[in-house]
Amino acid sequence: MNDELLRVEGLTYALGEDKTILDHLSFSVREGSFTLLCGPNGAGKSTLLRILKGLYPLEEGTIFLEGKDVTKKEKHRLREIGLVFQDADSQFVGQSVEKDIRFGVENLALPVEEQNRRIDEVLHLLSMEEQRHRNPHTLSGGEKRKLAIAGVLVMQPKLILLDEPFANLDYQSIVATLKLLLRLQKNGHTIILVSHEIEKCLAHADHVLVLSDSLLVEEGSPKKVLPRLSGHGIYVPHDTPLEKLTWLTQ
Amino acid sequence: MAHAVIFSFRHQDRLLNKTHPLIKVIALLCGCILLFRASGFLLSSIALFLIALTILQRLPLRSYARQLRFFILLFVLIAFGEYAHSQSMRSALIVLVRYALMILYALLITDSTSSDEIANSIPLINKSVLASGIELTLAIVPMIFQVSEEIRIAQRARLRRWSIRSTFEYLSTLFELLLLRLEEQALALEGRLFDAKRKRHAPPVSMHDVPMILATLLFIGLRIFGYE
Repeated sequence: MNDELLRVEGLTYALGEDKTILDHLSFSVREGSFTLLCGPNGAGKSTLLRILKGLYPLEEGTIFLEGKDVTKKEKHRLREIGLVFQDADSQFVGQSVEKDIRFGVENLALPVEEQNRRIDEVLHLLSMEEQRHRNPHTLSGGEKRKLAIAGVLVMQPKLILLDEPFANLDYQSIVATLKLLLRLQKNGHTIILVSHEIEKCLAHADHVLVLSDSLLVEEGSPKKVLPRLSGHGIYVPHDTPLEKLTWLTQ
Repeated sequence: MAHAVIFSFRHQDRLLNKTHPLIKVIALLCGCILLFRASGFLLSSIALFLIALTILQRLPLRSYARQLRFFILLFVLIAFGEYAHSQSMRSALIVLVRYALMILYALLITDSTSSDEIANSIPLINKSVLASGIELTLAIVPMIFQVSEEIRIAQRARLRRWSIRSTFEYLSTLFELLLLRLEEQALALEGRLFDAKRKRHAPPVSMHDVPMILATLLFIGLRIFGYE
């Protein structure tokens, strides 16, 4: 496929000899697409994201980014792939919203003017100008999630990975986060989102990956995968058509 | 919204926030050294200066009340130790005030200075990994208080009463949780391409530094001329 951004072939990860966390996973992700990665707890979803990002060593398999083999190029993946952690609190380094967003661009050694430009742009995009000088740890859950996304966005990654972005959020914050993600996709960002709460966003996904017991058990369009999801321990509301599986009511 | 965490930075448009971080650190060090022996006039002068700064800075001491309990316990132990040694109430009280003022100094500095500002402003080391070490260490301090507060609340919610056993449980949970948080943070740092040797820019010295410099020089002068 021409517009393929990420391709994974035979990815395997194990803890010791007995415990296989991910077993020969192969899939690809189109540029500008919204991929939903779901599966029961302990299926290896977070581990997969951390391997793709370059935080965990890859034992077996190949990762292609924009057609180039980046399996051994962890630094390249760290730069080109952004990961929003499940626990936003643990991601914060700076002692104000602005300082935390700046942290990433400082590490990219960008000129100060470019850093300021990107920070202003991201704060505007995420409507966070008013929180600019707040301490990250005093923000609400939804604001923390937005800041975690801002910290990643400012580094302008090619691919954004989000680990359970709706966890511990109230209804309004989930809707706001979902709207933000769709806006990012519309702006051309490629997104892989981990969530087992498919009723919140399946309608917006272009592509679905289902992990269960270390294996990639389903892959395809939401329409194709939806009838088989409950068989993999994923909650699917009864008699709800695909287009209704969203928390956006507009 | 979460409560303010002790020893964490608050962005404000106040004199202490505008003072050069290095001058604040030097003032803190000088202040602590002077406080070791201070009593009477010098102690009162420093106390008045810090109280004035606390008011100017609008330090949220009420929000810190719970987190300050650890220090209050420490103060009581120090004062008790001094009383047992000297058999003098006055002497115990002076020691207590000295340590309380040292903590207040530290609270004011951390409230007005972010950890990266301190790391950026120290000459000679601000281009080395040591600066990043200082920055990360200072950033971890509020996390320790935050985690300990979370555990305390969780234990209390489950009706845990104080006992030696519960104290050990509390400490082991604290270390375990801190290690987990630090592991996650290490991954997050790596994920955001943390460069310990990155270029740092020291802020310029300005007129806002004058009051802190004058106050510190005054205290040193008082000590030299024997007004202890």
